[in-house]
Amino acid sequence: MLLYTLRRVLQAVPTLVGVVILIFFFVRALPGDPARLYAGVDADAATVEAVRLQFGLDRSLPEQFGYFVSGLARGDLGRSFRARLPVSTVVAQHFRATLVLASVAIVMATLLGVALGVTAALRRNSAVDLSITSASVLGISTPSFFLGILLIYLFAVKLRVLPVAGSVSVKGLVLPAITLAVASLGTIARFARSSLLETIGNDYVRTATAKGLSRSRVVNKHALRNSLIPVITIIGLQFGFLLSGTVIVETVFNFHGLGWLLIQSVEARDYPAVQGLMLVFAVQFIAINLIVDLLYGLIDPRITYE
Amino acid sequence: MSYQLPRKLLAALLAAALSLGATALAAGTVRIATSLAPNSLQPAEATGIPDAAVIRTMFEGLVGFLDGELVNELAESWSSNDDATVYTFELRPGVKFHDGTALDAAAVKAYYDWVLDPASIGARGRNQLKDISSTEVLGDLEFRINLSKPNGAFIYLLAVSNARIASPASLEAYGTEVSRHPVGTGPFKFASWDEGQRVVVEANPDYWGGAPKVDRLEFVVVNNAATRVAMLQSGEVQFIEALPPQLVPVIDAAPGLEVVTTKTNFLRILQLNTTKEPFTDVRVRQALNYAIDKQQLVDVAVAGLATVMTAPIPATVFGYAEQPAYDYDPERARSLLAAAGYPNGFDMKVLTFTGDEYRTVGQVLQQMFERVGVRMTLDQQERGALVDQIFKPVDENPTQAALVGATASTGDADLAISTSFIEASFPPASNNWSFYENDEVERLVAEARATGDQPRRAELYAEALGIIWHDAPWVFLYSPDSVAGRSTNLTGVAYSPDNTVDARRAELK
Repeated sequence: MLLYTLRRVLQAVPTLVGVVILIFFFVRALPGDPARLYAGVDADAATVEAVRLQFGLDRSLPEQFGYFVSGLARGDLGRSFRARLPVSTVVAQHFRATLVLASVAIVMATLLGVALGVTAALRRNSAVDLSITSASVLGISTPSFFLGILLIYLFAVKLRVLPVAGSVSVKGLVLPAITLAVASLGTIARFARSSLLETIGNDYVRTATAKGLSRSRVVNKHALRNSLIPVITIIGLQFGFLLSGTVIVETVFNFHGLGWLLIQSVEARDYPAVQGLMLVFAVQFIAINLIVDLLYGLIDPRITYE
Repeated sequence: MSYQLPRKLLAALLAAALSLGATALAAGTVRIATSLAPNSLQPAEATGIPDAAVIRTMFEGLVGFLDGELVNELAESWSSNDDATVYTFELRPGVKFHDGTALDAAAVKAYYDWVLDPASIGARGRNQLKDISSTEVLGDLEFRINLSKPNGAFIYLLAVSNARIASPASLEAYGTEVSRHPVGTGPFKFASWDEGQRVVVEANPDYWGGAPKVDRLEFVVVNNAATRVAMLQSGEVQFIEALPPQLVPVIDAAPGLEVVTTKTNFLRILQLNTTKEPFTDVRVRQALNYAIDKQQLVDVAVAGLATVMTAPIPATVFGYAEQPAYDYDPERARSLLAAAGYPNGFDMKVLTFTGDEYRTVGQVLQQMFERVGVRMTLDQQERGALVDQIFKPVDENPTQAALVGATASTGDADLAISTSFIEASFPPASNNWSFYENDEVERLVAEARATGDQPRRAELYAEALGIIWHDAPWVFLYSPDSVAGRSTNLTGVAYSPDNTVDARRAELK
């Protein structure tokens, strides 16, 4: 398993190299001049040139690329044009906020989502199943800005029990985490339901029931565990999206995480920051995929890693 | 911001709210929700409006603005010679920077010499002060600036945010990180800065003008307008920037909250490229000015929170002179177009920014132009892309017309006219996006700059403004108000005419 992990990590290297090259040239292909945008629209040409020099944008593209790659090799992501700080510092500051928010949201969504999905599957075609299924669809299709504003209006403006602005604190996390969790929760519940139903239809489950096991034992020991693989895949994916920043929820709740940083960086054409963020997003997705693959083995002993 | 939530929906939801007024806070802390994040707190380097609002609380200039008026700050008095080449300042005695460094002529010289050094990070301040040839210490508190050429508007350049003075000791102590370690002489001193989230400043009890009335100010970055409004309603902040017109009724209706508007030195204009047909003909440009009912535009597009332009520069600026109005007159517009050879009108494409205000204004213009036969299409572009296009040199510039903003950031006609209406300011050098040139205007501006006689300067600008107004390189639209929301228990915080919040006199009741 260690060898497998190592191999997967090595396999990720070409992907990351691809991401680095693509992003470097992609951000520079966007219209918009970082020096002009930083100096201000009313700045004169001399100021813009001075800023360009300061940003190192007077160098040729291959030179800039060489500079970027050699910095990367030393673990240096460069300096943010906008924030005038090392990119690693800026990203780290905003990463913590996103990590905490995404983790709280995904835990809420997973616990509730799986519970609801299982309940719906076990009471298939009942009123309970119908309400859970409809609620899931409603959760998935409610735009997060709408839900966010509703929650703000109710809990912050009317009842005044929670703050409007999100933050890394118990009170500050409640509303944004709920808003984020609702959409993921619906998706997870639907996957859990359909996957469990599919598993329950299998021969070995019928056999288990036939040999006289109690219903709870059949479900817990035989069906549930086997039905979890696709659910874990979808949770991993959802977590990946949440970690890449959730622009709308971050905007509504003024939660300054990676999504906020990405928007600011793209608007300012802050090349080093965009590059750094994309690299972080790529690493996150690769890491989550790896963790999900390793989790398969824990859940299903038939899966081995070579 | 280029992404916006559906404001009407938010407005409807929030309008229903029964606000209970602001909740109690830790005594003496004022929280201000800003619409954008500051990037640098080094005065000469900083470029943005959010930066300037924070910088103003911590730094002072030799002179500055108070409610749009030029006032002495660190200078007790100043004088210039007749041809405006030598400016001499008597400094206020007993002033100290927050790090204990004495504010004397040597410190002021050391600071400005640093700004003027091409190796320093203060590019914006340096270019603003580029006319300085040398600085001199005449005595302990007597400081002189010599200019390489006459500049009668120079004192206004010293009054803007970029010319505020930082402790020379801090430049050495923090090097390239100085933009994160602001040390000035102002009523508040730096406490903390969470990148992109908030800047906190604390009262400076030793301030020469008397200690501030509150303990601290927190500038909280809240990009989304509806979120700012909700935070004001919930009492999390006492002041919010950039209140959109459609959310004004929400604040108006809320007990304990008020709307505060300020006339600004900003403009919204439709800039016409005078090198492209049909805008090469002055009659066409005038026709478009007569075709727009500007008061109706202001009422519809920005809920009346603006002033119709009465000169090519804002009314808040030194040198402003009112011009005869282009009254709404579609008949006259049609006959001018016919005389210019366009009896059936023409097609035009107007470039503009994304965002509600520009879109709404664009749509109103579209309808009004339609009535005189001019078929206009609106091309909304993201900021970076738009700026790329309008700054192309005249031969490569594809822009026919652009609905944009203009500003007179120094509060003086010299900058306002020379950035927009003289040949040296053709893109990419500066903001003459209309590629307008007129020899008489050039001469008048040069003459005005070469004199220190302020009434004479005003006369010269008045003449130049008359010519520009007649030549109509722009369709002159309006000067938007800065609109803020404020808790009624807070006084002394409001926008100043440069669209930056002035919180120096904050007081809680």
